[in-house]
Amino acid sequence: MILNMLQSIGAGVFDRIGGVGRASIMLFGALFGIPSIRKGFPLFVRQIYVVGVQSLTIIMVSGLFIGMVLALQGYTVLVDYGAEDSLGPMVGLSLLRELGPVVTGLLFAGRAGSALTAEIGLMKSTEQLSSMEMMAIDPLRRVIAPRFWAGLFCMPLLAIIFSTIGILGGHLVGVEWLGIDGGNFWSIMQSKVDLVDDVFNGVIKSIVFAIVVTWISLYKGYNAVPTADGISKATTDTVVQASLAILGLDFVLTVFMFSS
Amino acid sequence: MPEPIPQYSVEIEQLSFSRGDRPIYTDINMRFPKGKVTAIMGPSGIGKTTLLRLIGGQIKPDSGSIVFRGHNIPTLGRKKLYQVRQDMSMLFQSGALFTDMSVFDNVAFAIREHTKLPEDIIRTMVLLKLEAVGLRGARDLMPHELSGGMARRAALARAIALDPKLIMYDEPFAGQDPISMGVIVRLIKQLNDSLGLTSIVVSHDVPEVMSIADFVYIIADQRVIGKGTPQELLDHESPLVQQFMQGLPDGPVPFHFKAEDYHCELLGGVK
Amino acid sequence: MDVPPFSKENVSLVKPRFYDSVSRNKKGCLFLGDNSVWWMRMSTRKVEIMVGLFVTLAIAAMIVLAFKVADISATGSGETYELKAKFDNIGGLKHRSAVKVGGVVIGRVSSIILDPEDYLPVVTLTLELKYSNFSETSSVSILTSGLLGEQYIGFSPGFIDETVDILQAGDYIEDTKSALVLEELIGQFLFSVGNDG
Repeated sequence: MILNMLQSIGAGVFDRIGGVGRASIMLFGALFGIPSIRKGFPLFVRQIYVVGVQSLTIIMVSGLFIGMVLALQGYTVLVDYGAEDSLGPMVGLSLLRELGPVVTGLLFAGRAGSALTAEIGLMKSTEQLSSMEMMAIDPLRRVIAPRFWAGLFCMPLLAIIFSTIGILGGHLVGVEWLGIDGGNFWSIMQSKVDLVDDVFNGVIKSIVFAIVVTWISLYKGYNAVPTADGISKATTDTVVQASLAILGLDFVLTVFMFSS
Repeated sequence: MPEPIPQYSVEIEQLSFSRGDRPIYTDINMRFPKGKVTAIMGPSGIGKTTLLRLIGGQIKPDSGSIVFRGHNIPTLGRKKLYQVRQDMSMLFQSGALFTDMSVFDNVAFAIREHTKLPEDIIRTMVLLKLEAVGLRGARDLMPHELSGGMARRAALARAIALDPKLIMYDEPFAGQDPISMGVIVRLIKQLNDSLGLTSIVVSHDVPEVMSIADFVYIIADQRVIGKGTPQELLDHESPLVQQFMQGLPDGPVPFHFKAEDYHCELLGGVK
Repeated sequence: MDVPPFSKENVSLVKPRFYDSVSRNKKGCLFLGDNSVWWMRMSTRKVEIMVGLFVTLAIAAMIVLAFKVADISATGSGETYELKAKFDNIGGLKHRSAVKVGGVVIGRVSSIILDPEDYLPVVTLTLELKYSNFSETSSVSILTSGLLGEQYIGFSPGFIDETVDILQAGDYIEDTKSALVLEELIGQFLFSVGNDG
């Protein structure tokens, strides 16, 4: 009984290690897999369109609303202490440091990550990947690599756009609607926000999230069981695992970046 | 006058393959003569497609050799394997057209990837291949706009895009109406003869295969149970071969899945 | 080759949506001519334009963040020099707190360490090079903006004549006033009230 339990734990561990190993090999293949600039670049651009441009709407709308809600909630608390002028740095810092990278990562996992998994899983189940292999074309290079690089390229840009729109949304609510002084809003924000400590650290966070989310999505799709059931499970796995990975990594990164 | 030594495109020797604990093949030997249509038949679920994947090097056998044009496929490194694969091509059961490209781009895909030809030459090549399968006018359709038979013909045009030496057909007749079945049967034979290809056809459609195959292997129970020209097989003495060729529901391959005795199970518990 | 050409019988297998677009394009004829190339180029073009817009938008956002939000122009990417000052107590002073002369920011606190010998905090101030003509008699004090606001360093320039030197980079400012710690003040106040009573 106990032996059986130990055995199943051991098997599970080996399974995980094997999975991480396979995923690493795939990542390696994708990283160094761009065959040539001439052939790779158009594929890369097309994937930026699929992964980045098509996620833009949801990112911008979410950014706007989150910025506005932050300003509204922050105002009701800060006004009690007569500190409503600090609304600017509050909205700016929370967006740049945390909400920008994290929410973008979560939305990206739901919007682009799940689509990537489903697309690649379907290509696998309809034997498109196999037939590519038989045509002597490595699907890791032709299919996985452009998507990986596009994901890595797009997510920091999306996070920057998200934060900027969020700050503008906060300005809209705080200054235009609640009547905080516009000059104070910007100048106090400027004195509190540092380009390197806050903006760049946020971008670094989103790069890390981009690697993780894209990697998980592609691996789940590439290793999906090629049935309708398998693909639906892979898609769910992508969203769940990518979201958890983002939140966990965010804590670790925050400890390293902002706790000193 | 000495008989000319038969030339073989693919030679399989002492091949064993198992999936998990379940053996698929044990020590089978097969040879596929150059320039001929060779058919592999057998009941479903015995791994005929697996055999094609083994030849293509997508999976590795437990033991044995698969020699294609002097290369032993299982021992090849990645790079060499990809090089060798440019000489072979495979028509998948579903067609496996790339769903995000038009028919034209599907056929042009391999040419664009493997050569640096200018676009107008590629266009000529693609149109030639499409003409061969009768789909020149359908070049701008997307795969989801094609019927099943047309999709398979488009996939066939893609398979011959780079003039391979060997072409493998995985169940090319499955799920086709009689007209498109007839078209595909004729195409396989024509392409084989006009392009000097070696064709391997995996199928269980006996009459169609018999009409085009030069040589037939029948696989069951992890081994080759019958081989020869279609005529030889029709006169084969093995009851298993006869059951398969004539499509009898019961025989050496039982109608019933392995189960307890019928009466015992229905009257379970009652002595 | 006697393969049947693409004929009307085969066309009936094509979905009607496509049929429409074809007959509109080429007067009922199924052959699209060079349209395949045109279609591809058009679509690639659209994709490229959209990607270009996306990247431009991201760059614009980055510029907004850099200049409007973080304001790199004011926090001085220009040349700087450092001065040091030793305090008894720095209160709530932090890394990146402002250094002000008459309310104008001239630099920031770049590090706070404890002197290993006398255990007093040493604050390093990074000041803009254009404000470099301060004399040795200058003084710094830790002040609070408002009652509950953040703390900053108030820099009072000293007088300049022949007898005093100008502060050089790395010099210590001798005249320092520590932060007022509210708890200590209250303690002192209570103590004096107790003495009176």
